[in-house]
Amino acid sequence: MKNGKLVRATAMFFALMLCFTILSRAADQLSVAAVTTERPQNRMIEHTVRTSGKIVQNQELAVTTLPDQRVTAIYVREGQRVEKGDLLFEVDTALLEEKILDQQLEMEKQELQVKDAKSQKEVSAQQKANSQAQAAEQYSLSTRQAGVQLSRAKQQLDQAKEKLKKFRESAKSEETGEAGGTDSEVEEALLQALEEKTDAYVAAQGELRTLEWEIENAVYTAKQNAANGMTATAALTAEDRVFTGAAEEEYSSVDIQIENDDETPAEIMDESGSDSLDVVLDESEDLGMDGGLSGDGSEGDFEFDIEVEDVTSSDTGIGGESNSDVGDRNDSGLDLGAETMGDLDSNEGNEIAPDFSADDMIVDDASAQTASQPVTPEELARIEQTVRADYSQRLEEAQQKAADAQSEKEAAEAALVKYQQEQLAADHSENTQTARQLAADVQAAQQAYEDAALAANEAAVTSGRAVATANIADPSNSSDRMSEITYEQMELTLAKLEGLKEARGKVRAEADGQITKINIMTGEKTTDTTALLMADLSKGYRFTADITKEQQKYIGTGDLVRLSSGDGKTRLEDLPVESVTADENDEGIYHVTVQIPENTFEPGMNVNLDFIRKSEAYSVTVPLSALHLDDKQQPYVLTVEEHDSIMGAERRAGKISVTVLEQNESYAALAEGVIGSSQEIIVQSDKAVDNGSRVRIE
Amino acid sequence: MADIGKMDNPEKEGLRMAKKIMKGITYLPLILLAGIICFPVLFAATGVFMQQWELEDYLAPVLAGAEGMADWPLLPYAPTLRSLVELLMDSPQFFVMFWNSLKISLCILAGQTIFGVPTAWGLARFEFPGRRAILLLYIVLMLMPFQVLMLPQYLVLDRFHLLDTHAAVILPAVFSTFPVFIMYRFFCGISEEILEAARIDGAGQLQVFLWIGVPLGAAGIVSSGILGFLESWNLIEQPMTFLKTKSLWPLSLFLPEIGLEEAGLGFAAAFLMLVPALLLFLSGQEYLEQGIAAAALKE
Repeated sequence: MKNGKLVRATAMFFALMLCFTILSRAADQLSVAAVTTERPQNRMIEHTVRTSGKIVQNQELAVTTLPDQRVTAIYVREGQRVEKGDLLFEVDTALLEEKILDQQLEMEKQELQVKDAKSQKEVSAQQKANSQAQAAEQYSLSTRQAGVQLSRAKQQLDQAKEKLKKFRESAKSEETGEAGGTDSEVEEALLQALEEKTDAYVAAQGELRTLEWEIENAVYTAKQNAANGMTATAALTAEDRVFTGAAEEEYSSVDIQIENDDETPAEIMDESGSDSLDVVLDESEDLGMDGGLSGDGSEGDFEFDIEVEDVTSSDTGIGGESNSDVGDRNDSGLDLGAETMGDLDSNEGNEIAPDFSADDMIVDDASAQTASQPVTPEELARIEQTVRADYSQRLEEAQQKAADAQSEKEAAEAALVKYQQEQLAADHSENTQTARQLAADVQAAQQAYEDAALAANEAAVTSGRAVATANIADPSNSSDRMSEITYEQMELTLAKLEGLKEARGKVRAEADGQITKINIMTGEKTTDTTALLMADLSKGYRFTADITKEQQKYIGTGDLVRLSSGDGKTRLEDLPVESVTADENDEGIYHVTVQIPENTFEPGMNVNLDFIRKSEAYSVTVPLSALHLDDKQQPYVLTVEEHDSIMGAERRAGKISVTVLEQNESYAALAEGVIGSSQEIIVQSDKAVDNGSRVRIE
Repeated sequence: MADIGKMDNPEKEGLRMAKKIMKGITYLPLILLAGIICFPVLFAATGVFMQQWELEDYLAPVLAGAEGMADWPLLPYAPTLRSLVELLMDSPQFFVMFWNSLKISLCILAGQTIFGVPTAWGLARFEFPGRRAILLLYIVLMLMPFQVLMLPQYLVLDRFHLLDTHAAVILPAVFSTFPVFIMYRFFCGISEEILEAARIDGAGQLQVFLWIGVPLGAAGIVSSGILGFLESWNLIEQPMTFLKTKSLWPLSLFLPEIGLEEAGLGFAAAFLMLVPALLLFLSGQEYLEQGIAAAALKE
């Protein structure tokens, strides 16, 4: 009994094992992929290029008309063939005549505008010339008056000195044997020293004023240039602004040169003719014209040179005697002159050459920049700061020089006064009072002379500044020419309108062709774009289509292709490809063109292109479905390999990396030597298969 | 007398108690040894129901080279039948090997029965010259380990083109000397009178063997069969040496294919491998004991 149970249990055990054997095998087979295999074959890889495109004309003609014309009738439709002279469309003649009338009126208005602009320009030029002449005249008068006052002060000083000298000589003759001769020499020397110091002081003051005005002028010029968009920063070098001379001492000389055609200086500065004078400032010396009084320290002379040039008597109308030849009458050598300060040239008409124009400037490379945008206040301030910085050293030097000259002059004055007081204190005679009075007179005359010299300097600077300001050029004004151009354009438009009117508003074909596009509509107005597009039939047709970059590899110029119509009724074989060009806008798209024979396809037709390029014969080709890419994008194929396993001979997928020589959408050619011709390549499977996966061949 | 008799009884009681104590002392180490011997079975049974992660934790020091000592609990922390189900449902390889083992074992048993029983009968009941020399040769061959016989067997099997076939494992086992030796002992124990009586009754040699010898030596035949099954069920060296094709391998080679990551599968396979042997052992336990005792008897 007991054994019976054990036997049953044993039987049951083995029965269960049998069941599980079947179940586990069934479950195991579910995970096995059923695959289809194929052996590598020897074949050529064919690349088929298939695309569809359109038949287009080789050349297109544009038909245009004047804009804003109402279309009354269109006599053609798209696709219609037309011959030269055929009526295409018609515009409203009533509206056309109205437009012509409007155009004529507009042209009259424009003509008046042209006249106004010209008149305005002439008046402006006249006003400008007047202001320049007035400034030049004012300059001449101021400097001349200052020179006269200066010469008078000099005469008074000399007279006072002479009186004092004579008084002392008489006193000396009365007191013989005394050391008066020695005293007179000492005082003479002190006076001489004082004169020299005074001259130096005046010259330094003049030089300082000149420089200050020069700085202001440079700042103004730089700002103007920046505002005009020429240069944002124009740092002028010292050479452009200083008065040109052989030596530094000549900076302070006032050169006012007025040249006269008939060499009569007396006629130059006559007030009656000054309004017609044209002042041309010399480029190199214009900024130094305000130079002030020149001090020739060694001679103690103040020299003003006034030369008059190029002033015709007819313009100036000067008949009176000139007051400017002061130097001839001034025995102290004072000479008023204007050497190259102003060039009064009536023959040049309205020509005005500003002496501080941009041509005279040297642009500092470090700071110069092209300013095409409006200059900001900050930028202007920076420019001013830059210009002033360029002059700061010279300004300080001039100020220092003026201060030094003043202190030296004051020291000389103090020495003279001290000496004279000592002389008076030692001399207790009755002439003392007289001598003291004479010395005081000399002092007063000396002071008056100094004041006159400074005043002359100031007058020259101020009036010179006015001349320069008057010479600033007006902004350019081209309104008259612009109006003229507009008028000419209107004339052309009118001619076109009248031409259309002569044709009674009818627009005709200028050549044989086929209408490809109509951009106008009956009842609507025309625009300034093309009204009609026509295919020029005389130039033939071509097929054009787009292909991808991949397709472009297999088709090229000269390849013989097949073209067939969409319905397949018309087919053209062996047509050479005219061109294959890349699209300029869309990368990866190429255009194929094929010239087609006449009377085959009509423009606008949809036509298919077919081309097959065959490769060489490859010994190892597999279906593209057998090709896979791994994680590194390396191609591989899976082969069926038999393995010995506990379950018996198992088929597993084996991964073999390959090199793809060429492929199309169906097959891939592989490099030889890796795959044998008898190997089974997995081309299809019902489950995902990877290296080592168990497979079952179906 | 009565007192004397009363005095004798306590002495007997004391002696009885002493014997019991001695018996208990004797059993204790035996029980401990039995427990140690049974522990691998418990080990396998527990492992069948363990999770894979639990097995990896316990066995990592042994199988994966982790630090520390291997540990083994008496009960699984998270019992599961996953390994058993996986083995039964998802491991067709196991069943291939299972049936290979069964095929090899049954063929060996059949061969031993066909060739071994008559051989043992002939050696036991017939007197012929060289009988003792043959017996001695049998004993010597029985004592030789497989490693000694492996090369000659390999050369012979190769010559007969039997390598990498089940016959390469089955045939050498069929002609094993051990079952002949066991059955020889049983057949020697049959009384000559009984055989003589049969002959007097007209029985021939074949009839005497089939109707007298086999029934009377059944215990020996069964016990040798059980021992032979257990031996052939657990064959490892012979299949490893003679079988190259994996699909021919018996179940005993399944476990070497299992790593730590499939330890649960290994325990389940070991457990199932134990079942047939256990059932067979329980069925023929009586005969097996007799067979082992017979093998221990001296000539």
